[in-house]
Amino acid sequence: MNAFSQEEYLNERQDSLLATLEHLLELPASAVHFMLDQAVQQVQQVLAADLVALFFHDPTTDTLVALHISDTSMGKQQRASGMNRLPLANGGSAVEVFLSGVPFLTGHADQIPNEPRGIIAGLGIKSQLDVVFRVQTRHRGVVLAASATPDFFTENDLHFLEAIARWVGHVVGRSELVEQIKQQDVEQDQKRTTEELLTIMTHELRNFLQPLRGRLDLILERAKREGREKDIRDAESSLHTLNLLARGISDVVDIARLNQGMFAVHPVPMNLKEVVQDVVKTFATRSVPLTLRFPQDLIVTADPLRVRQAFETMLLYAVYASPKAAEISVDVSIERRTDGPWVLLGVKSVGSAKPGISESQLRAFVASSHSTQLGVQLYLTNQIALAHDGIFTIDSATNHACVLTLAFPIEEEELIVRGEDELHVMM
Amino acid sequence: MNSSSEVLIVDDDPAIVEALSLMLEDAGYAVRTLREGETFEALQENVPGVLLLDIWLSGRDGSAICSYLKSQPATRHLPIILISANNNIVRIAADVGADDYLAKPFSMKEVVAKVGKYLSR
Repeated sequence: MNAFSQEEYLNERQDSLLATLEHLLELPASAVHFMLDQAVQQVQQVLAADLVALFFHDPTTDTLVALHISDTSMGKQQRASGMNRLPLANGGSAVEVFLSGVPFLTGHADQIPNEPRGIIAGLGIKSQLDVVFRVQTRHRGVVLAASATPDFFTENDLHFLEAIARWVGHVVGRSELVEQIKQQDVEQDQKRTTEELLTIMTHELRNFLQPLRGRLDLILERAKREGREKDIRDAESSLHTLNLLARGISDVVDIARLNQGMFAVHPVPMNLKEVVQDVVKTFATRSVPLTLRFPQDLIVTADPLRVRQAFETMLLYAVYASPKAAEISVDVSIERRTDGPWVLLGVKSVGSAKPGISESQLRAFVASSHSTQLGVQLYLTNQIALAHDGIFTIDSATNHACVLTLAFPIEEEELIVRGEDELHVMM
Repeated sequence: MNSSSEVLIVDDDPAIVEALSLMLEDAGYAVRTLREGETFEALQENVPGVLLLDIWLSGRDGSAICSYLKSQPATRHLPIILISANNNIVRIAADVGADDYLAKPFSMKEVVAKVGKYLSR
């Protein structure tokens, strides 16, 4: 070949490499497998190689697996001989390129020590190009081009294969991103369906309970007006059971929401004193002396239904853990901490704790949803605290059967505190 | 305080409407009921003292009705108490300008106390 024809040949080759790259960029992005198959066929043709293979690293077996192979006799032979799977442990140039990321070119593969025998003797490879492809910065596989002719490939061919490897990395990365988004969409749809089912189920169950609750309240009121003691007791007992059932339904739904990562609070400005007083009124049928201490008005931003739920649990636990008729005190206060004001809702019961429940058991209740109903409610109280960026603690102190505190931060500008009241009631 | 002493209950569940009516009548209130939200436009002419409005009505969205009533001159000052079994009732009530809310299942004490805030017997 004279100097002119050599230059002409190189120019023509450069043009065809560029044309191949352009053609690859025009392939539809939706069908990744088709794109990569097309790529290996076109690269094989433009390089006039005997084999082009796209190896992907399979981390489960730590093997390079050729998922796309050129439709050539050496390609068929590669599949038939099992050389489409290269365990990293066996070494060889393709493996070394995958591990190091450094591109490789040889015209005498048969002279490389440690090259797998199947590559040399089996496929008869003499010239070889190996380039790693990356998704972001991670090595994900190797593009290999091979020929049975010695000294077949040039440095330009290697640069071309490097461009191809970068393109493969982009294609694979984009495809994985699309898959990830699709998967996220599926998960979002599943969550939405679950949330809808939970909402409908809760709605239906609470709607069934509402007329029952109303009728029982009416029976109780009439019995009180007419002084029918037995009916009062029966109505109170039925209402108590109904309340437990309503709490049970709410707890089951809340646990389901927590398990699905859908547990949420709906904070609005609320008067904490009103919530505390309302809850205390609902406990008014029990003969437990209760002292309330709170500011006359305390407006904070929180979810009133969830705070109410937490406070009910705290009172239920205080009654459960304390000796009969032990005095219970409720304190609502503001504490200035380094990160701003916190509201503290504390429930204390006087006397020694009932035997049978240890502090470690109690902490296990708070940490896990797998326990008795009161345990589940303590667990939910802790979740309510966390959802308000706060904490829920249970401690024992001298002369107290239990000390429960729900504390959460509040915004200074939303905080309204006026005066202080002390109230003694019988729960 | 509204001039009318009547409580209007709008809920599509007859058992709830009946139980609520009995509770409020027992507490001394005059009660009117509607099972559907379709006829709420009639409220413009006969404004009650308090409206107890369910959020999930068959055919109508109670929260949209609340927004509409709060935008109308004749009903802007009508106290509306939204009732619902949904956990986000508090947020919905705040969003649509309701005066108050009741989360199901609520007690007779609660409903009487809430109505009493806006209406004399």
